Amino acid sequence: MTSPAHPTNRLILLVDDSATLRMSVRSILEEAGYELVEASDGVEGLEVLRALGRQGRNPAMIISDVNMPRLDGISFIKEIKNTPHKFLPILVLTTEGQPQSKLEGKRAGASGWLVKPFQPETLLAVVKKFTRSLN
Amino acid sequence: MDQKLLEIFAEEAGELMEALEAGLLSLEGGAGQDLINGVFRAAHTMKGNAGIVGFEDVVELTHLMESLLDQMRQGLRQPDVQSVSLLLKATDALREMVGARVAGQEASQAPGEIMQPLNALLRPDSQEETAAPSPATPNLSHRPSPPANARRRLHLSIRLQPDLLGTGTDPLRLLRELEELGDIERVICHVEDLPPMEQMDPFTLYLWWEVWMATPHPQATIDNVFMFVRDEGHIFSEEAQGPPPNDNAALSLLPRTRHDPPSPVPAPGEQTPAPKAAAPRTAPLATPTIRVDTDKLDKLVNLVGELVIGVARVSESASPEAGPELREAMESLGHASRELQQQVMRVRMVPVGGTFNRFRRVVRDLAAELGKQIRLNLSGLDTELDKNVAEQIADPLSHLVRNAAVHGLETPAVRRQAGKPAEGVIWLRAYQQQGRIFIEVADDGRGIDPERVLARAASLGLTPPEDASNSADIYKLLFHPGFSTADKVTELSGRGVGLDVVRENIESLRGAVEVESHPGQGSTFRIKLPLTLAIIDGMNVMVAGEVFVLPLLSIVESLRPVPGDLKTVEGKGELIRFRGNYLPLVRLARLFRLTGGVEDPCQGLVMVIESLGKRFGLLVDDILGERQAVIKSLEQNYQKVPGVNGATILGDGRVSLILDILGLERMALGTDQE
Repeated sequence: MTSPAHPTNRLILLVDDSATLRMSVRSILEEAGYELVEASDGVEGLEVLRALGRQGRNPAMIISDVNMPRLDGISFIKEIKNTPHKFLPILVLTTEGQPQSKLEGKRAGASGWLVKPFQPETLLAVVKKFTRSLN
Repeated sequence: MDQKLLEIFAEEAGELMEALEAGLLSLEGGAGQDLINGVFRAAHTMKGNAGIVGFEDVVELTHLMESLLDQMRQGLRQPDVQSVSLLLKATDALREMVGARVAGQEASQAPGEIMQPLNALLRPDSQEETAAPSPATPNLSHRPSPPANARRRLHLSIRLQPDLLGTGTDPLRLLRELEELGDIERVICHVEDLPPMEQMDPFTLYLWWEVWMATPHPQATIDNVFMFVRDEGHIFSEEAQGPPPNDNAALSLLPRTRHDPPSPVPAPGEQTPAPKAAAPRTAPLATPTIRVDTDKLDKLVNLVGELVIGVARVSESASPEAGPELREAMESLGHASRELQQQVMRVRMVPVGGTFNRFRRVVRDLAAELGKQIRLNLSGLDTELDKNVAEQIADPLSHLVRNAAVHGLETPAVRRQAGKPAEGVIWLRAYQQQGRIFIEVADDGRGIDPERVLARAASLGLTPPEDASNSADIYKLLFHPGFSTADKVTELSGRGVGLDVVRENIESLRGAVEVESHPGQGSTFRIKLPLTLAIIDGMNVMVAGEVFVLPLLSIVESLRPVPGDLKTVEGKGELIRFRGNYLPLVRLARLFRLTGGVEDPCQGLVMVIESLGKRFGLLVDDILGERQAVIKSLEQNYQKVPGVNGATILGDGRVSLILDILGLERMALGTDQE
C-alpha cells in the first residue's frame, strides 16, 4: 500500500480558496510543529500532490475546503480516491450552513470534518488524530 | 490579533468584494450558473474569513448576503433588479465595515436600511429576526460532562464501518488515542469475521475490538476519540463489570465459520442500542464445530440412501389400496426422507477453494521454471463439491493448469509481439449451474489451432469428425490416447498433453470435459461434474425383463428406428442412421447375454449415447423413466464388473445395475485400442 503516514511525517496539504483561512490554519499548525503546503483549489491540490510525489514526499494528511472554484472539495476527494493517495486521511472544512457537505464529504471518503470557524485547539486535536504515529 | 493574518484578511477581503461587485453587476445582464456560483462563493469565503478574524458584525452581514445568493444559486430566486441592487448596497456597506475593523475600530452594526430589507427578503414573515452568526462550536457532541471524577473502569466494544480504511482512517490510530487517555488493561482484537485468505478484500475492515481501560477522563473525551466514526460504526462504552478476561478464552476461539456481518447501521433517529444490548456480544462468538470421520459420513449417506429407497418401496407397494390417510402419510415421509438425504449430502460438501488454492504455488513455480509471467485468477472458491470429487479432481486440474502454463501461454516476448500484455493469465473458475458443478481452466494464450489438431489426427490414423468446420468436434480429438500436439515432451507437463488421462479421470467422476479455443486468444477447458457421487440421475431402461440404469448425462436422444434406418456393413457390424450419419448399434441384451428381449430394433428403442465425443446407439426394449439412483458400489461388495458402474435398489426391492458407458463402449466396439 502506498503513502502511509510516516511516523515523523508532519507534512500537511491544505486546500482552500481563502488566503485568510490558509494563513490562519498555517499559523496554528506551524506553531505546533507541522509543515504546510497550500493549494487554492482542487486542481491545484492534485498538482501539488503530484509535485510532492516527484520529490518523493507525501503529506501525512489533507485538509480541504468544500466550496472552491474549478474543482470543489468533494470532487477533489473523489479524485484522490483514484490515486495512490487514497488512504490519506482527509479533513473536510465545512460551515454551519452546509450540513449536506459534511455528508457528501463522508460519502466521498473523507475521514472527518471540521466546521468553520473553529478554535485552534479543536483543529490541533483533529489534526493530531489523523497524523498520530502508528508505531 | 495576529497582525500578519489581519493583513492577509484585508487584502483578500478587498479582492473578494471586488469580485462580489463585478459579479453582481454581471448578474443583472443575465445569470449563468457559473456566475452565480462565483458570486456566492465570494460572499461565502468573505463570511468564513470574517469568522476567522473574529469580525462578528461582518459575519452577520455576509451571512444574509450569502443566504440570498444561495437561494439564487439553487434556483429558488431570480436575480432580479431589486435583490441585486440590495446586494450591491450591502457590498458597499461591507467595504466600510471591513475598512473600519481593519483600522482597529470597534464592531458596528450594518446600517438598518440594508439589514432590514435583506431580512425581509429572506424571511417574509418575520422582519426582526436576524440570523445569528454561527458560533465557534467545535463539532463535538459534547454531553454535559460529569464533574471531574476519579478514575473509572470502562469496557468498550468497537465495531467500525467495514469500508473505514477507504476513508483514510486507521483503527490503530483510534486505539493509540485511547491509550493516551488512560491505562489500557486489555485489548482483544476479534478476528472471527475474517474470511479465508483468498476471499479477503484488503480494503475491508473485518476486525473489531474490545478494550478494558481505566481513565480519569469524562465520557465526552472518550467519545471524542470516535467522533468521526461513530455514526457508521457500533461503539459501546460501559462501566467495566469485572476484570477483563485474562485467559486466552476469547482468542482461542478462532473459528473456521464465518459470522453474519454486524447488524446494519441504525437508521438516523434510531436510538443507539443501550450498552446492555451490546453485552452479549462480548461473549464468545464461535459456533462449535465437530470433526467427523469421513467413513462415518459415508455410512450415514448410505443409510439415508437406503431409507429413501425403503420409503419409495413402501409407497409403491401400498399405492393401489391405500386410503387417503396412508397416502398422505407416505407423501410426507417421502418428502422428509428426501430432505434428510439432501442435508446429509451437504455435510459431505467442501468448498472448491481448498483445491484451487494449491495451484497458486504450482503456477508460481511453473512461471519461474518456464521463464513466463503468469497470473492465476481464482473465482467461485465458495462453490461446493462432494469431498471425494474435490479430492479426485485435483489431478486432472493439475494437468490442465500445467498444460495451460506450458503449452497455452506464450513467452513474454511472443506475447508482446502479438500485442498482448507480457503477463499471461490462467483462470480457474468454479460455478454451479443446472444442478451440476462446472470447473473451468482457461488461459489467454495462443489457443489451439484446429488445423494442427486435424493434421495430427490424420497422422495418427484417427477418424476425422463428421463436420470438419465444427471446432468443438475437432477439439474432441485432443482427448484421444497418445494424442499430443506439443513438439517436445517437457518434464513439467509430464508425457506431452496427456488429455486422455484427464478425460478418463473426469469420466470416472461421472463428469465430462469439453474445450473451447480461439486461436491467438486462448483456450477454455470446461469440466462438468455431478453434485455428488452418491446419487446418479439415471434413466431406467428395460432389457429382456431386467431394469438397467443409464446415466442421464450420457444420453443424447432416444428414437424408434424404422427399417430404412438400419444397415449392416462388413467389418463394422450393425449401424443406425441418426441425423444423417450412421452410428454403431450396440445390443445391450447381446452384450450381457440376456435372452427373451426385443430382437428387431424397430420393435424396441435406440438410445443415442455419447461418450468421449463418440456416439453410438444402444438398443433397449423400453424406457421406464427418469429416476435418481443411490449408487452402491459393486467393487466393494462383490467385484468389478465390466460395463457396470454399480448397483441400485429399485422401488420394488429389485437390484438394478447402473451402466458404465465408457466400459460398454469398450466391450462392444473395442475402441481405444490404438
